[in-house]
Amino acid sequence: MKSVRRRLVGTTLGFGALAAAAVLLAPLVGSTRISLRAAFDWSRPFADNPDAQIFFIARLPRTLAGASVGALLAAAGAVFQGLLRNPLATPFTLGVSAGAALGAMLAITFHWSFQALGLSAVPAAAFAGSLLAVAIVYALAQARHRGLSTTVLLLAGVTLNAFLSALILFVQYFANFADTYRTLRWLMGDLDISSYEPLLAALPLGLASMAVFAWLARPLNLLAVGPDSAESRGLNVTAAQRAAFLSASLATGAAVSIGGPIGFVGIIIPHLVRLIVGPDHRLVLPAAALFGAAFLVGCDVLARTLIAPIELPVGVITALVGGPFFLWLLIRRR
Amino acid sequence: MLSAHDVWFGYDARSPVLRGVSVDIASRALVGILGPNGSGKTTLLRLLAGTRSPQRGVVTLDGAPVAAQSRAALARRIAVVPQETQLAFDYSVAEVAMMGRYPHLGAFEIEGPLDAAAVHAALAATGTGHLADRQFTMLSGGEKQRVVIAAALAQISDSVEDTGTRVLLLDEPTASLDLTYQLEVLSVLQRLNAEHGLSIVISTHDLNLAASLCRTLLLIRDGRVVAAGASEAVLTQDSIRALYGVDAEIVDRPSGGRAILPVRRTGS
Repeated sequence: MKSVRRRLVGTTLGFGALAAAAVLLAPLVGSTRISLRAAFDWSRPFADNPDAQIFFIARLPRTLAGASVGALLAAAGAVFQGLLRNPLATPFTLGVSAGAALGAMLAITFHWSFQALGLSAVPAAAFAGSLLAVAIVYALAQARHRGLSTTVLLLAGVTLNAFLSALILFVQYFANFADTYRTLRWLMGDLDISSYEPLLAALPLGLASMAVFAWLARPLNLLAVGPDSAESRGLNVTAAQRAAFLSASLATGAAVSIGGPIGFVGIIIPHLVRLIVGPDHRLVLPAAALFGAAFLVGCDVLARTLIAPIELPVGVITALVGGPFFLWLLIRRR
Repeated sequence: MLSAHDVWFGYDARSPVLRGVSVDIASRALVGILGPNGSGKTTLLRLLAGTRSPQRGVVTLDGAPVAAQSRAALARRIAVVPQETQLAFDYSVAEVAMMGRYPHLGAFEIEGPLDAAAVHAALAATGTGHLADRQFTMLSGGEKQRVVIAAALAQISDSVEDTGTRVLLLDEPTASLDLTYQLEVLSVLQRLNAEHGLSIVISTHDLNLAASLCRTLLLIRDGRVVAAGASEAVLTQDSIRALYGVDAEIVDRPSGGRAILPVRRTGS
């Protein structure tokens, strides 16, 4: 058996190359052909350079958003699956996305127009909503035991998901047709952003979560064998579970505030990655982040080009790819 | 020596599970904790492992209170084997055994040749070396339990400086196994005790298993010690009646050791 260090290098280089290729090629593809040489021709003023405008304003932020959201959702999915010891968990299982959705619905329906942390109202409200959902689920799972009960976590998350969905319908009832269209589009998951601000706003949180994920890799392996045996091997199980829940929830909140609840990335990517590199979280987490980035950027290219010039929400593509895959996984498991 | 002195513990304050239990586990001892379901066996093992702290009383390892030691330092000396192990993901046997090395590594440290050697030796000692590349979930119950014991062995084996007591705590390790696999696991435990100098503590409700394997027994019921001492002295008709409320015949086997045959419920 090859050493973990060598497998880690191989995994990072392999999936890193895939992610880099996706990020470099995606801005070149689209309904309008652009020339890279023209886009990077600094002698022309930006205002007179349509190639540069398309590259830097329309496509690059969108590509980077796809890469960030894909990486965060895929890695967070792997962390949730490890935390809940359930391979079918997703980043949205514990109510984070429903909280974000309610926030976004409120902002759209009631035309909020504040700015916070460099974010416009909809992503800011979405992020606040996700924080609220995280706080509620955490408080519920915390109250029953001195530790963190993953059973209560799961029940509280699923219940909160259902309750928030009801609230979302309630808010929708007050929306006019145009707003309803916007909310529906948001709920499908969409990377249609044309500035770097949302990315910069999400960056610190995203990086912090990733740093915690790196520490969590070995604790998640121990938890997969069983919380009791993990405890007897010297792991502070409660601390590890709290760290996993909070970091993965915040990563999901950051991702959803950028792109909406883009489905299936958080479940199919960790599963595909496990088929390739095995179950060791020290390999699964970096591989999932890089492959998730490549996958979502790829799906977004499809979304932009499939029926161009109409742009589909990327969540439609991931669902069309992910749904059948998910069913195949279920059948394969037994 | 791993010792509990008059330990009290309850998961909630009003109903203590352990009510003043004391036990000494000498270096190289083979101790059985016997008692009916719900008597507090598992809880006592948790206190001995240091994953729970007694609300009264103290647990010490070679004289030092367990509560004062770091989790990792303790885990390098005391390992726990649960009744059953269900993995959430498909790890290989080698990966499962390597998880025993967790308390030997820093937060971001990757295992090195020393750890690989410890795992290799542990798999060999439990007769599971040939399974190293197999999927854990595909193994038989007995093989799984031997691999988990290998992980525990890798956890407490340290070639360098350590000469202190090293303890393997097993919670009903054979309760869900067929007869063949039970014997397979028991012979591994005897070998680890004799050849590797491990102290072994095994909780069980199986009288005959305890009688054939353990030299010392602790009988507990409702969180209190009913009897403690050498197996032959402790396993009497009276103590079995006190422990389980059944009348039993005790047969001295020609090959040595005792067999206990439960006959009827006391009083019926």
